[in-house]
Amino acid sequence: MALNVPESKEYLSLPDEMFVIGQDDAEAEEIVRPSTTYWHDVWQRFRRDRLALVGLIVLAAIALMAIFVPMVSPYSYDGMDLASMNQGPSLQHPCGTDQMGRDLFIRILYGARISLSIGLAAAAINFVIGVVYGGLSGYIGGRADMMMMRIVDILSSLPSLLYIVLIMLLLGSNVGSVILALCLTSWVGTARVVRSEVMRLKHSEYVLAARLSGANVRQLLIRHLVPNAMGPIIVSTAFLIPSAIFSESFLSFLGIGIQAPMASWGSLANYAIPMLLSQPHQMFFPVLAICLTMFSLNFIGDGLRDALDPRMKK
Amino acid sequence: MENALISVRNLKMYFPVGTSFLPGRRKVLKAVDDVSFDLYAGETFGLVGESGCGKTTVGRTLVRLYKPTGGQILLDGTDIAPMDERTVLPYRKRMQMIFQDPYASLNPRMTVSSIIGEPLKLQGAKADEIAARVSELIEQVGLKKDHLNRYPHEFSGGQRQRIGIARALATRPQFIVCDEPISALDVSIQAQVINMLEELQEKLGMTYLFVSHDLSMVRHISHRVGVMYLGHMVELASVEELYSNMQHPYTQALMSAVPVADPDLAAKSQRIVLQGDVPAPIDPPSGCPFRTRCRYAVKRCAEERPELRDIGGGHLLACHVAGK
Repeated sequence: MALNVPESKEYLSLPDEMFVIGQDDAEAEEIVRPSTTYWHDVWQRFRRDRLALVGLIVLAAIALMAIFVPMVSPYSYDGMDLASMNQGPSLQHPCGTDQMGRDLFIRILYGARISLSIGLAAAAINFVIGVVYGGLSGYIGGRADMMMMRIVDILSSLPSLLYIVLIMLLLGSNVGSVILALCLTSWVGTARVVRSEVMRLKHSEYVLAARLSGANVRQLLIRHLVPNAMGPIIVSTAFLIPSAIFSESFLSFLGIGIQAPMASWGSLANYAIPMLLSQPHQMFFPVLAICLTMFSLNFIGDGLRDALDPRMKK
Repeated sequence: MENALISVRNLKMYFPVGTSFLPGRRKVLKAVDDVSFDLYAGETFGLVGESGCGKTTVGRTLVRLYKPTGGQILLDGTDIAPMDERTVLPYRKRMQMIFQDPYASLNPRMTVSSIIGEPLKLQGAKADEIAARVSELIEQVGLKKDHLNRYPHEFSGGQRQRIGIARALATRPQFIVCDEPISALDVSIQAQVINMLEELQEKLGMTYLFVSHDLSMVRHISHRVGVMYLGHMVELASVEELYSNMQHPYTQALMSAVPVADPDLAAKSQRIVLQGDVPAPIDPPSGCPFRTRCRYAVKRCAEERPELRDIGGGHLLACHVAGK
């Protein structure tokens, strides 16, 4: 049986355009997506994380108050007023006063200066040591890497409280010795992260291309390896800040950290112990400051981790 | 022999496998074992073979990304194989590489202009010299100047490969290793990139080592072709000779696997199907590396490794049985 095909020629002829393979080159090469940098994308993702954004705002508020309020406040951190001891929160003293009549609000803000700067300094020092040590260990590899990592293992297995107390006793209790004690071994975490990232990246083709053009280890690390490992490095550093602040508070609470009349959140909480039953606000406000900061920093760290990893994109 | 730009003699590249606390008890992977060939100025040498046969390693060793375990790499008569990282630098400036994966070969955190300008910057060129050269290069590879401030992820695979080529050209090298430069690209883009490589070679007189498993493309672009199997060179000839008069059983099997576009011809051509898998390069067979899968293998193949010998007209073959 013959197929019922109409004999008209129109039916068989297809329009010429259908046989043009591909399109005009100039148009095909046009880039549609607007030009965005990596960090722009990161900010877009970070912004969508509500908790992290709230954390960032709270932390910024604490930091700004710690910087500017003491400049205009009539009270100072060590100004005693024996006429107004142990007052509860009032308009004059928003957080009340302590047993020497010092304004607790201003002392907490001074404590914020110390706690936040210890946190930042510890994180910065950890970052530098961790990146250099981990980067070299990961890049060189082989026997040098094995030696360097065994040193890291030994450092991280030392009981930290023991040598921190020793250092504080040896060097005296001040901000510098607290930072030194906290930084002595806490960089090992960052070093491990950087090492694993560098080991992952060092065989990538763009690193080979740079080596081929004569880049040395320093140039490779600065231009190629560390920038591309930045996500995990930032996250591990971001989580270091709260742990440093907490360790400092803990040391000061034990009485071997920041000494009176200087105030840190831990030492303020320590001074409040004897008055805990009669004046609970003296304990409440420093602890509130610690909690708010811890929550904020941890939320920011979580948010950064998700934002820096494009695979977490929803 | 005419002027060989690069002569490779008995090149060996072994990699230690796994880590062991006891030195001397490590296993080695013989990625490249005793490979010799010459590269003449201005030619394209195609290097083919299946995955894991060591062709990429040969390319990377030639530009000294790896330090060879043994053998010589003579660049204009100077042996660069035993040099350390620092002494090899002035020689390495004459060599560059185009990489396989255009998505992995460009640093995602750098703009196109700093990627292309990096080799110049590392050589200590001034900022305005770099800028001038970079804008010259970007047009040479068929992209526009306003692409220079963008980041790699904004480009398509073909465009990225062009950026990679521009970077390789920046320092005006004499010799470029093209490590499967088109295997990650779309077929329509492959032709564009190949044409560009040919044009650039004509204009700039460069020598290419073209590593690929795409036999039709190698035939198109190469002047001479070497076939590798399990770290060894098994056959080497000019492209016309090799594709018309292949002798090694492995080459024949490899060529028979090339798809034929014409269905009538395809029906006629016989596919040689090899038995078994490629032996592990950690534990290669004795004698001829191919003997375990070769249908012509005789006793001698297991006892003695066939050397590359000239069977006439520069056609080199490593086989005891074929080519007699």
